[in-house]
Amino acid sequence: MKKQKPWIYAAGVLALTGLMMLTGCGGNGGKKEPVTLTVWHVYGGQTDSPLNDLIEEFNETIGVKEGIKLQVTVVSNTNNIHDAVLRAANHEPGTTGLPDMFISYPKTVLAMPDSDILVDYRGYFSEEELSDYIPAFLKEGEIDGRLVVFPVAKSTEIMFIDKTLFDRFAADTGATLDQLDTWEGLFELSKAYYQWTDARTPEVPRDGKAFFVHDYHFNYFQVGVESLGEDFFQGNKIAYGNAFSKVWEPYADAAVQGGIWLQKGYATEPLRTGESVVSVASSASVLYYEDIVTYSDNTSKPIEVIARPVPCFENGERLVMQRGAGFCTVKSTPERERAAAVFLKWLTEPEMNVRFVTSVGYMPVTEAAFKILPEVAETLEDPKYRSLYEAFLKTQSSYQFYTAPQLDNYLELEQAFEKNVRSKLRTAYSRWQDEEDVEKLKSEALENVKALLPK
Amino acid sequence: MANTLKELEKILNLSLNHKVTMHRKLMMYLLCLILAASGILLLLLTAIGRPLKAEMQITQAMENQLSSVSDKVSEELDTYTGYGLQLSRELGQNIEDYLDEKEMSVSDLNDRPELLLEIQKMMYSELNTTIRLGRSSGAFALVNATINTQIPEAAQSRCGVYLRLINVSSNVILSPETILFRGNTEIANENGLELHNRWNMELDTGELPGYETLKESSAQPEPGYYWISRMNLKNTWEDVILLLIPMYTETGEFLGDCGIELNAVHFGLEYPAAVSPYGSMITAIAPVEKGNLRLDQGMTGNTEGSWLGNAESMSIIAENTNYSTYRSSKCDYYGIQKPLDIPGSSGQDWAVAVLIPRESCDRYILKNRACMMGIITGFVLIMIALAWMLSKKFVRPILQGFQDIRNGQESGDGKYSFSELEELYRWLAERGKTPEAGELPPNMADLFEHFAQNVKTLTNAEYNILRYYMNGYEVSQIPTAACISMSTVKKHNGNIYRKLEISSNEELMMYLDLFRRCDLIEKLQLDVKTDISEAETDK
Repeated sequence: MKKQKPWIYAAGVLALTGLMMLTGCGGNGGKKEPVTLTVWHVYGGQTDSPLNDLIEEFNETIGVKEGIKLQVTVVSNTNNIHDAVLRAANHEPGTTGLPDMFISYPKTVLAMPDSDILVDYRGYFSEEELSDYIPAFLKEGEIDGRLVVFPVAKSTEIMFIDKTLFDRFAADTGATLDQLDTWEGLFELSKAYYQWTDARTPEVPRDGKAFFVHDYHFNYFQVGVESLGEDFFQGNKIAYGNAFSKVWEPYADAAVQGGIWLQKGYATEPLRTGESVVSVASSASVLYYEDIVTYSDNTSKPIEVIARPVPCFENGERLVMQRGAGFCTVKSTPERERAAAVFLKWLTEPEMNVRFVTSVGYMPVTEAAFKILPEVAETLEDPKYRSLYEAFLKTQSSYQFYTAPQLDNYLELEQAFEKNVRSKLRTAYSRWQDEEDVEKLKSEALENVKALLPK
Repeated sequence: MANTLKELEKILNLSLNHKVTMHRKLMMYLLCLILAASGILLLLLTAIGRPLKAEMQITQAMENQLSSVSDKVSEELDTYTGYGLQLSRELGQNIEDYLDEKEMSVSDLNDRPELLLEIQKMMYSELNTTIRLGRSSGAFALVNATINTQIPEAAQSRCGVYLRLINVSSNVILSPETILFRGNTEIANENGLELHNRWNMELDTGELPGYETLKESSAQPEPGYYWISRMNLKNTWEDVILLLIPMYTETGEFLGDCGIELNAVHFGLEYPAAVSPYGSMITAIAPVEKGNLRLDQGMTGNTEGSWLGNAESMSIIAENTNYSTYRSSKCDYYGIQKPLDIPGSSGQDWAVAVLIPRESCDRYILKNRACMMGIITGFVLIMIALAWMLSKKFVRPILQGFQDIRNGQESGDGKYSFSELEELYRWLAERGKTPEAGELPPNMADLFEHFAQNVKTLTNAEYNILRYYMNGYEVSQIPTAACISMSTVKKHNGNIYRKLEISSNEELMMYLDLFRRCDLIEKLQLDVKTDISEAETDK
């Protein structure tokens, strides 16, 4: 008789078990749960953010394929994200903790209690991949030899002009756009504009409007001094040298006489309400300029906003502040960190990067993307964006880029300087309205600014 | 059919007639025992293992989560409503007092920017307090008048203030920073606020469903407020639901509206996805329309760990006793919901729901089931192995005994553990014992002994006749040899046959031949053998 083998019984039982288990596999559950990353970014501020749309696209395509889902929980500006990141990093009560990815300047990382909580991207990008990026942009994101701020878009300062209002002013006074090529010319026009608007209400003396608004007065002084061949910083303090005085003089002259907007807030605000005509701000602010201006009686008028390279001093070098925060990723699991790198690689592929940056007013970050940028810029529908990229390309060809140094107290200096300069000059303007002497006010304001800066 | 039955019967008969080994049969008995034991195990698991059932566990987790978030949502919305009603009372009273002081009606505020700015300042103060105390992501108020009735949008443009948190992710700090979304820039300048990137001077009532009805109605509707379902704040990336509360004067004149914003991001942060072994448990509040959960009109908590979009409508595709199956555009979800007692803008019923991705739930259920199956399979396999070993051990000595018998071994020598086997061996040994040389088989010996004993009962005369036969004489030769008549011989023959219990001369000859062949002929003796020796001598 044929001998029976015991494993036949075992195999039979296992097969039966497998069959029974398979009966539980029915149903259409859908896709495997994604690795979800929370994101805080600045691309769009409170507006309908173009990056949110791209993130949605990523989630629908690569995200589905790779099992990654990005979830945007904050879109704000770098200052607000800076505050929120530092609060979360310091575990302040009431904070929700750091997101997986956030946009940050190196200054924010330097101010964090421990930057080691951030991922070094060199662990997720090969040297070959990194060689595609503009080396200076990568260099900016390195803290203590670790690449922790990854560039996805870089901005520079650009001058925006409400051309509709400028043309009205120019028609009466003969002002020209070429005068805006230099700071000296711009400040002269600022004073002239104040006089021009003041003259509209002769019954109220010195109630003119500001012509110019700068997003970061600190940047004006920093780049201005450097363009005149002097160092703005001495160690971790501001060096108040001759060049500083040269930069201060025309600026304070115009500010004390009402030509410069000195209120808090961003440069886009007074342009939107017709309170000023020209601004120097990050190229990214193009997103926040609307094509209408709303006046105090709630009437709205369409306007044309154009962009030009920032002015320079007549005897100075053509120098412009190069800005642009980058993405930081908080250390977690390799799976989550890899997911963040997948997104960043996708966002910085040349075509995608150009698509992204041209929707938010930035420059791309790879050599390949720069090559296709001019061609894409010509096809932009919005004349405001076309004008911006014309100005970008002019800036790129004729200016040197300046990057702020990585000082531990940079942020402290910047905030204190910004606040004090605006405040002291606002007071000076107020006193000028009471007809005090301009020279005296300028001098006193400078001394007050110097005195109040942190030692 | 009949043929099939016959075939089956044949197969059954064949299988029944099929001879199986002792081991196999024993194995079958043990397997039956295992199956019975497995059945009992399953019964026990079913009886005591209800909490182990994955579906029940999932349901329990969802019910707990729903109970928890439902309480939290209700509490939060009640808080908003409380602060909103307080805001409407304070602000309504302030505006009414202001109008009384100016001896004006609301409509008189149209085209009076300086008066409207005063009212906006009142609004800012109250709204700022409401945001700080109520922890909402925004609050707004508007008065039923506009700064400029000449602009094309004047009919829907209403003067007011809309304050929003700059960063909803840290709204629990003591002094959250706010931003001016709607309102006069003077308010921003005076209070050091930034303007929202999509700031406008006035509020658009076209974005507030039901506003026109409230404006026309002189009587305050019940319950005095309602929630506007999810809407996008124009030109921003943020979605909100709004609590709208109308404000009336004591005489019933409509003053305007105020309200509180519940922001989608804020809701997401307030209601994080609860991590569970079954997947992320997502919280949602939404209007219910025709059985569909309109997430596109409600709020979804953090959707981490799922593909759920923030603004999808979900239909219930299946309901069972435990939970329902919801279908979104991308995935299915298991979930439960319960009514949420909030008034909707168009009489909608709202519900709060807890959802878990079906994929992860199914995986958990499968894993759970596989685990159970694994346990039972392991049990069965162990039992089979045990049955195999036990049966093998059981039959091994029996088979060894058979083998020993086949090999001609004479004795078990007590090496078998079964006494029955020892007994069988003994019996077989006895039965199959080989006679010694010259020794008769026991039955033959008995036969010969009996015959020899019968011979001893013969008389001398009869024995003499028998001796002639023993010496090979024929019947006819005996009268001559013994000098007796044939009739005497026949008479002796008759006696001999009777006493030796035989019936014929042939039978006698056969016996004598057997005794002779066995060299036992000399056993046929009388006690006195004189005549026999004579007879031998004669021959």
